[in-house]
Amino acid sequence: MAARINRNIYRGILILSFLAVNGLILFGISSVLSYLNTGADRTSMLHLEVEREDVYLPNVTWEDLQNPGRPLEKQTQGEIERDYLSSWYVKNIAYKTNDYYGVKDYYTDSARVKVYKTIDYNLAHNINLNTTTLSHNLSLDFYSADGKLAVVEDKNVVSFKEVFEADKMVLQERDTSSYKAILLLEDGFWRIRHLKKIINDTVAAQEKVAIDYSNIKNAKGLNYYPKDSPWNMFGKKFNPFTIHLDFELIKKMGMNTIRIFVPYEAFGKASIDYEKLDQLKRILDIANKNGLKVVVTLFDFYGNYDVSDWTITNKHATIIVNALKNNKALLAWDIKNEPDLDFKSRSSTTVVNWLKQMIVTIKNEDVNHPVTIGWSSPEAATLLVNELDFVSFHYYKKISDFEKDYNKLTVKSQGKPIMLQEYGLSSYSGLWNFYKGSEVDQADYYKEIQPILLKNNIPFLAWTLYDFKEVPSEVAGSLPWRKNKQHNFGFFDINGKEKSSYNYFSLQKNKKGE
Amino acid sequence: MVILEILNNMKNILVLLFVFGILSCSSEKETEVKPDKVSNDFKFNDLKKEFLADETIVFISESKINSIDLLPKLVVTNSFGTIIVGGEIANAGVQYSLPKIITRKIGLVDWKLVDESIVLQSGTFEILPNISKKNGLESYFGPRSISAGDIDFSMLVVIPSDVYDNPVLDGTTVELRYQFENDVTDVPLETDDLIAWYNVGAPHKSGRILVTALCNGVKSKELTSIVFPANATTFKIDYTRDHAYADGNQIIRFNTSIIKDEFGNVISDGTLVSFTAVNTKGIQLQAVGLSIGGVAIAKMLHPDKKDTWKVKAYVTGAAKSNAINVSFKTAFDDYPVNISKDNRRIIVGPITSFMNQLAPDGLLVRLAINDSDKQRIETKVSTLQNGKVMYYLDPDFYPDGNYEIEIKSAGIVKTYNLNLDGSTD
Repeated sequence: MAARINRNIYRGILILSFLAVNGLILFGISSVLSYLNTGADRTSMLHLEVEREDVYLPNVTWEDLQNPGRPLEKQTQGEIERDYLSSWYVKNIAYKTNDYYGVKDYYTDSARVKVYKTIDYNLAHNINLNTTTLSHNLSLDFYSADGKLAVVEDKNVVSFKEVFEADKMVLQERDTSSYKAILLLEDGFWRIRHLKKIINDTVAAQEKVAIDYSNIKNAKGLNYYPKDSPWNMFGKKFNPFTIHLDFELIKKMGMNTIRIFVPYEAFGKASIDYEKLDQLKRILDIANKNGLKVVVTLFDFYGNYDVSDWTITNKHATIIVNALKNNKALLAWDIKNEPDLDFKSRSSTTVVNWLKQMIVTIKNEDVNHPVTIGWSSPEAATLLVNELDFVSFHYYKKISDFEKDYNKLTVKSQGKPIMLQEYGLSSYSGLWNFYKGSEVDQADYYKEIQPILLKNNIPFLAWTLYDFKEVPSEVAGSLPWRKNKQHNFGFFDINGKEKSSYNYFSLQKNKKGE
Repeated sequence: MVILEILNNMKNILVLLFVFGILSCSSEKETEVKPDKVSNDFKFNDLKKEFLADETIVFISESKINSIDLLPKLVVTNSFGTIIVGGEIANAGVQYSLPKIITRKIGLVDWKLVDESIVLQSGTFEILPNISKKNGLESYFGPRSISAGDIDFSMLVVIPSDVYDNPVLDGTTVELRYQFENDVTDVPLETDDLIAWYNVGAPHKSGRILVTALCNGVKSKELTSIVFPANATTFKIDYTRDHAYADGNQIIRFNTSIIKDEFGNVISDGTLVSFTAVNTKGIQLQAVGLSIGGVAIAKMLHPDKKDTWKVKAYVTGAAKSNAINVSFKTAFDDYPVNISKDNRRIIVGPITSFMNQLAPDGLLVRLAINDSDKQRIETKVSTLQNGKVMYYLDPDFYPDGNYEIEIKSAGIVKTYNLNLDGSTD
């Protein structure tokens, strides 16, 4: 009996090892074959055009194409622009890494030596530059008859650079310089032959437009996401009808303002998703119909801030700002939600520099609407007061400290309007807060804070209209005690029923209830 | 159960709180203790606003600083990039000398004296090209082939530069010299937008233009542009042939007169001239020839029947010739046809031509066979060999009966009615 079992075991082992060896052999052969099949793909024979990735998109304008040589063809103009900008891009990268890579494609033999020498010097002295250019104003001085030489003037190039020595920042500056460049067409590339820094053109200072702050000062409202698609209201989940009903409801509550968010990546970064942009316009139109003003918060879920990414974010902002700047419902631009929370991971200087330049970019495009930043706390809100048109802060701390904190901020706000852009209390009650929260607590919170806000004429935007069934983990992280709280900040529960906080928040006293 | 869970969670929370506490403590910013800050009145002595390339540029300050580590940094930006220059302590104070990569490159140079991210002093100066030494002169000439006349030109662009490869100042004189045949022309130029340029217009004669430029005693290399004749103008054609008979054998040669452009230059060799002949039926025949010495020649085969051609030649898109008429006489008026007794063997010929010689091989002879109702059964096409063509109507295909045959050659048609009766010979 035992011998038979033994024999069966041996058989089993034999069969299994046979199968295993076969499997291994097959696996080996197939991986050799698949290795041999890698590399030259048949389509590579077609030399299909390689798609250029958007890595560097400074704002470029052409002023003047008149030149005594040959009329510039549209095609060549595009090529000159592309290669000239590439010359800046490769140079920026080369100085960042102190590596020659790419320089020879966009500088002629004699010109590249000058770049190389600078790289060598910086390498020897442990210097790195983190540079980008934000705008170029090109004009053509000369284009030769045979189409192989062009002299281009690039006026008032706005650039930003961070200069590091031994990884320590020595200087950061925003700079405006002008250049004259001779470009030669070599091997199909327009390459820099000479580059000479010249005197800037004097630019007429932009006329300051007086912004009307009355709507900011009287803003009463809340942060808005639809009930069923929080943090994800664009694209397939966009539902104008729901939004219309919600806006009606908000108006009925006696509110006049909402704050919405434009997710950066979902909107396609620099190559804007125009379908979503249309939806955004639609939201503002619906708001306008319902007599609501809108604070548009840009760059939601953005977190890079690096100098090399500036032109991409600028392009994104420029397109959105231009699409909405004439919309009557637009109240203000909020550059980013709680950027101060990224100070730890991205360094405060990087974030603040990005914000600073973004303020300038947006104001360049739209002089009529005020610009703010939704700081996460009254302490952070003292940053960039000079540059911003009004101060926004979020408050999730104890109400008892509110007036003290607010007064402190008033002192530092240089008389600019201050908006309480987010506040509220979650009615979440569960394991993660020991069943401590409740709708009653939430109602009490509003019962207490609303009179303070109204008494001090503080514009406010509460968080938020609805309780949410689902909260993406990008919003509050995946820690359950944080995430769960996010579900229950609304004045209406997930079934759309009024919670008791509603009565203390709504300015229109409840007609049906009482 | 629930209580256990809560306890568990509390434990977790406590641990997290503890860890968080440690993290927040450790990330607290250390306040930097700076040793002896450089005073804000560290200032450079006045600096020139303009330098020549490769001139020594030294920033000097009389401020007394003892340690090199305390020296502020000088951040210098020129056309190509930014560098940091460290200072040295000298007897009189502190000095910063700029490296050659800065001093040898022209254009504006911005400098900022920075200490702990604070800009103490900043300024701009300009470096000008240094043409005291021999300089460089890059020249670009194009397009390199142009056509004679008043429209076309070659453009010379020169970029004079100093010895450090910097373009010279605007307004620098450049002497341009160009030669065509025996004429040498001097043109004084001035640089503008870093370059100097001149359009050398095409002369009316074809030939070669030589160009050279001179700046600050330095000559550019010789550059040339070839002037090709302009477009052809109207020309004449003529023909030669050995006889006027339409024998389908001889070759007629068409030739153009010497084709010239509007300035009298003979057009370039290899210009394509196409000859078009239209016959009396309106059918077009074409032949092409390439010009050599302005003359293009094309050949065509004589027709095989009497015909008149209207011939014209074209240089496509540029010029055309006069039209000429060429007539061909018929080579023979008639030809014998012999039909065998059983009517199945038909021999055409011998065909004799204009001198009673046998007509050349290859002449087309066509035999059409109709049935008694004049319905076409078959067309046989054959060519002449030794003056003759033979057709055989095979009984397997043509059973006994009445047929009508039609013979055609050189435009001459002969019709016969045949009765194939089966009587063999």
